[in-house]
Amino acid sequence: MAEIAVNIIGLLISAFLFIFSRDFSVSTRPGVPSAAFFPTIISAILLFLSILNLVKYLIAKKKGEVEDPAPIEKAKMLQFFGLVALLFLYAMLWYFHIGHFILNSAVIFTVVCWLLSDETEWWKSALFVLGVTIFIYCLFVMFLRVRLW
Amino acid sequence: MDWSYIIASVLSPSVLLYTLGGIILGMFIGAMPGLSATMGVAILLPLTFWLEPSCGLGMLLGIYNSAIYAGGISAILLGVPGTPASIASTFDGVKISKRGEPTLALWINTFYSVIGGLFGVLCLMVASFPIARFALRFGPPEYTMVAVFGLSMMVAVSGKSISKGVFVGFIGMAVAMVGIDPMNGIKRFTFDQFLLIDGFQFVPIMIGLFGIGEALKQFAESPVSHTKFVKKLDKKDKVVISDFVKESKDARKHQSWREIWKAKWAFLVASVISVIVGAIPGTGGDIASLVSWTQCRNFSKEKDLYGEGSEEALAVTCAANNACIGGAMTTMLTLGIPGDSVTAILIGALMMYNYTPGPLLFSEHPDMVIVLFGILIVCNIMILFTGNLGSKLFAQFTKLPRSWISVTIIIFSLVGSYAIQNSVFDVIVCLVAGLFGFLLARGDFPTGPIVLALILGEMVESNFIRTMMLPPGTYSTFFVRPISLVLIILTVLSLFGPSVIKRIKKARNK
Amino acid sequence: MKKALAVLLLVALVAIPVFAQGGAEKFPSRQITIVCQASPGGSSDLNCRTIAPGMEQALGVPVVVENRAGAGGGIAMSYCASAPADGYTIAHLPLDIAQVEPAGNSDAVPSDFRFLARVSHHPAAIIVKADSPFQTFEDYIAYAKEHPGEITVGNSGMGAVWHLAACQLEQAAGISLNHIPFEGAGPSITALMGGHIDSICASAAEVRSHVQSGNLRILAVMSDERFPVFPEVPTAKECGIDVSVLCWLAFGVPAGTPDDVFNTLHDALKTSYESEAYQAMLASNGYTPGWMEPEEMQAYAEAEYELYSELIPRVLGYTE
Repeated sequence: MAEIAVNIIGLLISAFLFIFSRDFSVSTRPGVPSAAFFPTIISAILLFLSILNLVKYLIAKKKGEVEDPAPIEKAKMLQFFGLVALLFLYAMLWYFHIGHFILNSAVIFTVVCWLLSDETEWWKSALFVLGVTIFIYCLFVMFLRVRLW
Repeated sequence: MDWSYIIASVLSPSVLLYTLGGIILGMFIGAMPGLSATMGVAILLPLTFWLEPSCGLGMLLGIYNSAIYAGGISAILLGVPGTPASIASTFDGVKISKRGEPTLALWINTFYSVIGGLFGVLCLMVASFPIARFALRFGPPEYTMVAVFGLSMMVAVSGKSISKGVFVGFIGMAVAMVGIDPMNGIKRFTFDQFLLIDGFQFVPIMIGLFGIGEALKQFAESPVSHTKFVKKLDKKDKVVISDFVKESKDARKHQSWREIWKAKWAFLVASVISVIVGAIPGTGGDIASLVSWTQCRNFSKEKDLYGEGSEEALAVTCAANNACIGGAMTTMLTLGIPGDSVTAILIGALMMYNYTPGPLLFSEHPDMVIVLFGILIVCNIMILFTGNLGSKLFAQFTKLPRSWISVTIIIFSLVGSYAIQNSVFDVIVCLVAGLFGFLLARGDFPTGPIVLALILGEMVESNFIRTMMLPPGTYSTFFVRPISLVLIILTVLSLFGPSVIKRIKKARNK
Repeated sequence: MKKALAVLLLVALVAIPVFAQGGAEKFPSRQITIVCQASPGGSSDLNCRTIAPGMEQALGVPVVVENRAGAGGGIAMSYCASAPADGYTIAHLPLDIAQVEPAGNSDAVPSDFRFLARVSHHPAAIIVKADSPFQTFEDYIAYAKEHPGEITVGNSGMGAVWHLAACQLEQAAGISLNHIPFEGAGPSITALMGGHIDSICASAAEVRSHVQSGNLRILAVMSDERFPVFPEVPTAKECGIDVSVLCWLAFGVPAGTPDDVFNTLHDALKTSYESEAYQAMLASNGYTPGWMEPEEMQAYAEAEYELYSELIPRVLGYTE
């Protein structure tokens, strides 16, 4: 599945590059390649390689030679999307300056830690995450004087 | 020449103290993905204005050397390069560490970084003028061919399937096309978004692919947690988590002299390549270690082990990025031209102290030049000691529960990508790159080629078009300039050489 | 026990931001940020980082530098233009502020800011290798007139300051040059020293060490007065070509900042500008100290903006 998905992304990128580079395909100087020169070449190579990869994959699949990675369980998938959603939530909070760096990081990453873990008690993880967060905060804000959040 | 002054400047307690301070600071900066050596030196530069020249330079050179070295620490332990210069160290480093020998991997990083660094200093001391003069001969056509040569390594870092590797590489090239076009000033694929005008930053994508992608993959492939299926683990297993470090044997803490001697040729090849790459303005440790890794793989007896956790391969990359420092310093000191981004800042620091880098520095202030050499040597010796002390500490990290390691990787990756230019947009880029990295890993695609393409994509394009802009402006320029021609031949050889040799051997055996 | 610990922890976490913010009665009561439009390590960054400690002393609160590079400085300038006008965000505004909007890199224009002052400037210059056949600026111009488009001139990127300077020279002298863009001024200097191009248009300050060491030669500087570091180099005006391109560095706050806050910052900036450390930085980098008071600076910046909004679209070939 993932293999097909990546190849399709490649096809989309190829089409994207080709279509949008038409806007600047005229060279501004005689004898010098235009700004669309490289995008067009890349688009062509991507098109060729993604089709090649797909054909190879399908042939191998027909012959039964494909070793797909073990499928992910349904419960795992749910956890996985939860994790990804949490990370994006974290970025969004950051983007809109909601909350404080230490607070948000500690809470969100404790939940992430709880999602990831299967043995440690959550409060141990919370302490660990808090420690890492404060370490980073000190390194950046106090020492390097970079403003986070 | 006043030797007592020189010795007093290099070995005075205050200089040693500031250098040590720089080295310890550099370790944190280097080991944090996203905080680069350039940033560390730039931020600390104003603080050194109030110091004696030798103290200030000791501190800055300490940060520079140790940040490049420490980038390898996170590459080995987390699989995330701490600085771009240690991208190649992730190929083998993380595998050695996962195999259960993190202390050994860290020792290799320390030891080879130091001897690589010392080799660089040696080249700087004996041959800085010829090296720098050679580096200046690199014009647009030569840069184009260096980049093409670099891109040809996509094949080498592809792993099992070349078509997959090159495919992924060209996705990287496509990403590198976004942003203002370097030659005509046309905004490509930006859709009037100011954030996209400079294109995507390289470091967030790198951190996302290596850090977040890997963390997601490990998560997805581990058994379901928080269900009744999770078996109760006994107390011992709670401490040593089997997924990350297979078993905590960690028996070998360092290599034997015999093993070190065995890697001598690989070391020499890598160091020489890196000194030259470092001296060429605009190319730094990232390209040097990638080129060294590939070239040493071509010559190595244990070729198949490269990328699978070879100690020699790790040694090569660690030596390469530190040897690069010596190379970068040659062009800086002899010509006043920065060999990489850190030396660009160091020029500013030297100017501040009224030492203008250039040929005159050697004739007017020979003492200062020797003091600089001395400080560089001291830096490397200090890294050897602090590094060995530090790696015992850092190696403990792999014994933490797996979830803690993953969370640390994720936090470091996100904060690191923010720190590049204080932009949350980069954090989102890092997350998206992480998701893509996860897809790649699931589909059994290599990630190395993307990184190569991102480093070299713009270099190929802008220098190719620049060559066409300069007179005579024809394709033949690439073939009539000697260095460019040699690079073309090398590219062809490294692309087709191995398979041709294989065929010849096969034919002989028949 | 565990629960109590967790509750305590959460309370502590909530408390941190509350305490950190505090009240804001008298300006300044908390940290002030100088937003630099370039990444760490360049001349803009150095300028910000050297001015900050002096302001910190004068104001009594931390003054930190925040780098927001991207889009030729456009990212930082848009960010500052829309920052609250309370004096806690200071923008580093080099010449680029007059160029980002015409180049389409930002929507910030000089009138979005109240300039605190200009602190320094350095002129554009035409530089050749020491062994170049062009002995004087007149030679250079004469050759370019006879052979249009033949002389290669490196710059720091299409649409960047030094490319525009070369274009202004072309226009004023009625010549045509072959512009070769590089990724910044550094690589163009390298290419010139390697003999890959004939000349470059760059900051006279940036090449001074190469000129002093005898590798490069400045043919002329494009300013009204001669460049203090090399008083023997003629200005373009003296050679009969009326062109003047200064790269200036200034600081500003968002428009609408109250007068008392503005004056406090202005005085702090002046104290820091006059400090020994800052003047030493200017001297060692070859920047000309060029203090200019707010009103004059505001008018100057807006005049520059007018100039570049006409020049940039023409040079880059935009039709809009």
